[in-house]
Amino acid sequence: MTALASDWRAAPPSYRAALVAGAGLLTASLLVGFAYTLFGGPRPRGITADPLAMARELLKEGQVARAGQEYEVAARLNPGDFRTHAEHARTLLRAGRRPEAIAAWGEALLLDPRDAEAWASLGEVCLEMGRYPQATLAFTRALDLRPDQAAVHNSLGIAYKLVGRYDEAVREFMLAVRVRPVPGLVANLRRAKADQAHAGRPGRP
Amino acid sequence: MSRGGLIRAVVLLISLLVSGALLELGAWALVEMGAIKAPAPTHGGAGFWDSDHEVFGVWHRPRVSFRHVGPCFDATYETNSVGARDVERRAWSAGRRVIVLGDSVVEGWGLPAAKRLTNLLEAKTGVEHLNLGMSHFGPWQEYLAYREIGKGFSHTAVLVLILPANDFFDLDPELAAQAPWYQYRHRPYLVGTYPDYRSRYFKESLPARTLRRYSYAYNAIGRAWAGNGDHLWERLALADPVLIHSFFYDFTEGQFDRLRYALQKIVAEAEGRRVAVGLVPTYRDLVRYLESGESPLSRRLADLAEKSSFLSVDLLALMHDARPDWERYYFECDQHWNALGNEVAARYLREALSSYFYDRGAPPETGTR
Repeated sequence: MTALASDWRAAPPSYRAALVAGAGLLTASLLVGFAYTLFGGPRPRGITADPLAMARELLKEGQVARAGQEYEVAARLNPGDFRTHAEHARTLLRAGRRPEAIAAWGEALLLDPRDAEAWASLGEVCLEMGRYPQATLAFTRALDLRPDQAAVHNSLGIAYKLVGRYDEAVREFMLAVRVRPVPGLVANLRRAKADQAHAGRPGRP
Repeated sequence: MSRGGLIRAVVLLISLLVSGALLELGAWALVEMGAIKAPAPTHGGAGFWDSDHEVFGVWHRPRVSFRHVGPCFDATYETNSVGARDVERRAWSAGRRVIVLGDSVVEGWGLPAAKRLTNLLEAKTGVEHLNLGMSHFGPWQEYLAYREIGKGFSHTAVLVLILPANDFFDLDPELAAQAPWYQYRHRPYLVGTYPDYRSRYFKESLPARTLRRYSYAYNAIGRAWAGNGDHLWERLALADPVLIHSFFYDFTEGQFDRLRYALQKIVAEAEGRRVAVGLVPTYRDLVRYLESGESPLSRRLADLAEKSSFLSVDLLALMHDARPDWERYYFECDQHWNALGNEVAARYLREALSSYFYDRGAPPETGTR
């Protein structure tokens, strides 16, 4: 410590001034940077913003329709990127553009057919649109890839129930409550069993 | 030893002590902050539940008051002079009295005493219900508690409530051996085959017990090493590929034999007094009833009741059919009955036992104690 102090005293004044100025500049720029990050406004997007980044930014701001347009551009620019197509599909669904969302999920699944979440999402859109056979296929595929998803078993149960396949519906609701025994899923099982009984099925295994 | 060697040994010892202290300090901080899910040491076991009871393995300390705060309940428990969570009872009474045996469900987990089953039954029937319920008990411990404590009080009937969700587990020494995360597993178990069992106390070694009581690091490392038992439950849950696991349906012959033996011992110990056994469902059991209907356990218990002269009451079917929103019977944060669950169960038990225990039951015990 003493040696360091004596070295400092022995150094030429210009050297000492440069060292102090350098440390001061470094500290000041750090402080300004932090202050800008904390209190500055939104970062400028730039003239040639990446459409994917732009879409995400717009989505954060709640501008779903415009985000959809940007995702469309991004998907054209990155046709081989699964995530872009998946985000595009979700945004289209949020915008209520279900047929386009199905197409976007299709594009995504061509790139990665082993994504269980994408199959489940495709199934949900099909279910909402009343395309039950397609929904059933998509949910089944999702469950082949990841069998422990209570929500997907539940959705598949709903799809089966809506086409009158009560035995299969009951089985899927059972699988759903086996993973997650919560009142909502149990209520679906109870209703499906009532429908099954009403349809003259044997009931309990 | 040379002077240099001695210094090195002292330095090694100090560094080991400092490392141990730092490890303990780190474990203390992580456990207390909730970053590690491990039990805090009891520092000599001054808690409400005495986990070193020489006969039962676990029992309440006598004449203590304890505030039990859980994520969704806040209740104060008080014990009497024999360590039961009950009011002080006279040894002899001229009237009818019922001894009630069971685990946390009977003890009244998370509830003030006035809202639990036995108090509700006592208020409605006017018959004293002596509560010997104890959290973490299995049926074999219930028998021992009846023999050691219950028999010291005059009574005309015995009510045993079985919670299959953990009573088969509590009876099974092989499962206990695989559950180092369960701090109340050190207790008596039935070892052998039906009906040639012997009671063997699964003791914890002194060093292990001392470390468990006093060291955060020991408990944290032990929990990390053993996990939280998920593997055990997962293995049980795989019993059927579709149906939800429930011990009302998925139990082994060996497990049922132990339950049968414990119940028969209670009946024998009751010496002609009336005995009733109720089956208590958890939410999962009710879901399974919806899936599978009448349970094999209910059938087997009814058969056993006929042969062994006791009454069986299947609360599974009754509580399933009582209302569709069964989740309302239970606390949101665990599988115990809340006030509504106790109320519904008390109603069905009172109906089932009215002629057996209360109206035309066995005459009051005579003689003096």
